[in-house]
Amino acid sequence: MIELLLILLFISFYGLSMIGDRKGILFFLFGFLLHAGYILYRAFFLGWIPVTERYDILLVMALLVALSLFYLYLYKKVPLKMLMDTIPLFVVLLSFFAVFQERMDSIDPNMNSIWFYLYIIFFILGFSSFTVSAIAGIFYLRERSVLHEMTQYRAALFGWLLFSFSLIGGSVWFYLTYGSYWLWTAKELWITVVWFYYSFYLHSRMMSSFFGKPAAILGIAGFPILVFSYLGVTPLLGSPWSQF
Amino acid sequence: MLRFFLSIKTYLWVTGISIGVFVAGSLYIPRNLALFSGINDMPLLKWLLMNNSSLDRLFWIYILIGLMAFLWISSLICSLDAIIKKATWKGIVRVLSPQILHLAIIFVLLGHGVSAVAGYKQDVPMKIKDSREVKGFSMRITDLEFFKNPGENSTRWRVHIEINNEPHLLELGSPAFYNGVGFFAKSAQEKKQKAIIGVIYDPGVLWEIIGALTFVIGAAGVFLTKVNENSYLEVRKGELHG
Repeated sequence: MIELLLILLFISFYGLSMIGDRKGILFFLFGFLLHAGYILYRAFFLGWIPVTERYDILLVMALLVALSLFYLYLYKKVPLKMLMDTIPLFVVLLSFFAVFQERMDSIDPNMNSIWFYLYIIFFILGFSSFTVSAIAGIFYLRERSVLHEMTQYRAALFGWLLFSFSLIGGSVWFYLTYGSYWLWTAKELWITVVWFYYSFYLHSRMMSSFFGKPAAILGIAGFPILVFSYLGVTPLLGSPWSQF
Repeated sequence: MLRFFLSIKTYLWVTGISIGVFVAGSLYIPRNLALFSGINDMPLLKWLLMNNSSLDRLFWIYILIGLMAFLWISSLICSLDAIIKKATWKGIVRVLSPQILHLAIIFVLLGHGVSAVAGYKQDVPMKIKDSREVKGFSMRITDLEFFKNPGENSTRWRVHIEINNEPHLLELGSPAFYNGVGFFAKSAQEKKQKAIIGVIYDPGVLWEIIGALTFVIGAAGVFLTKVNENSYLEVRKGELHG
């Protein structure tokens, strides 16, 4: 119950940060520190990196997306107002999804493998990069700057490479555990959809007709596909349930 | 003809259609669970031949095979073309890295193709001290161990097994390989003192490993060249500002 209140507290701080100005930044910082502190607490409580269940995975993803605000502000010089209008919204959304996930606080022995950790860590990094790519796409639609276009492209490219690494790690893990590196299930097909979608996006940017707005929209549209593939396939399409 | 394979438009169309077919497949599988229940237990081709009367529910797999075969050929042609036309010693990493990624995809698709047509999978339930002959291998479980690690939510198992009279230890995530055939301790029951041993020969795995290693090399090249470089978007910036 206390943990739920803590999550709702930092979600509220992130939400309040959307008012912008100096107070907004303070709210964001409070939210970020509470959020990071809670993930550290989870690591301490569980005794391992908290990435073995969906609840923790979503919170770590949300934290990485929150972290991107500092990177985009300090290195990419994105105006703070624009950052505060968008990033907290995505952080709130991901954290909110986490609240509805079943808590396990234990690990399945099948998952306790270095290959599983590689798989899931790269998955989290890839997912977060794709989210940042979608956010940069929104920046582009608001302020037609080629710098946002570059950020969107690069975040998607790195996201795609990291996501591919996660597929490699996942395949090795699954093969060593069950003797198959690929399964015909709705979940696997949707993971492949995400991979092909971003491959489509990256290749499309070689065509001048995709420059600018179409590319930005394509990058933004990747986010709901990503969320559906991770959270929607099991409950809506009836794919087998998994802890992560 | 060559231009058709080299065209980025062709690639986008084929990828877009593939995405649509994958989505269709994700809708068909959960609605036909009885039909698809055995698809992961044997090479795909064998399973398709066994179920050739259900073409109305399996047509998308045939379309997918055709699309992946097309992508395989077009990736190969595109990469060869890029290497021949663009490769110079100066900036070789920049030119070659994406092509190495293409090559990795070619290996991975080849691995999937080989896995789909060759090899076998068999789950063998065995009790302790049982002997079984499977695919020319004699197997005998000599001992079963069960234990629980802290933080884990179920019991682990260790299977001591003799394969062709040689002792091996099978654990979760740690199979044994004998003459290219994998032996996996898929599950075990303490009460019944039995285990299910997966005997799996999948020649596609080798190509998947080659593909994965190639991908890591290509990705390293892309990371190195793209981190400090603005890539084509620099050109785009020049176009906008020029």
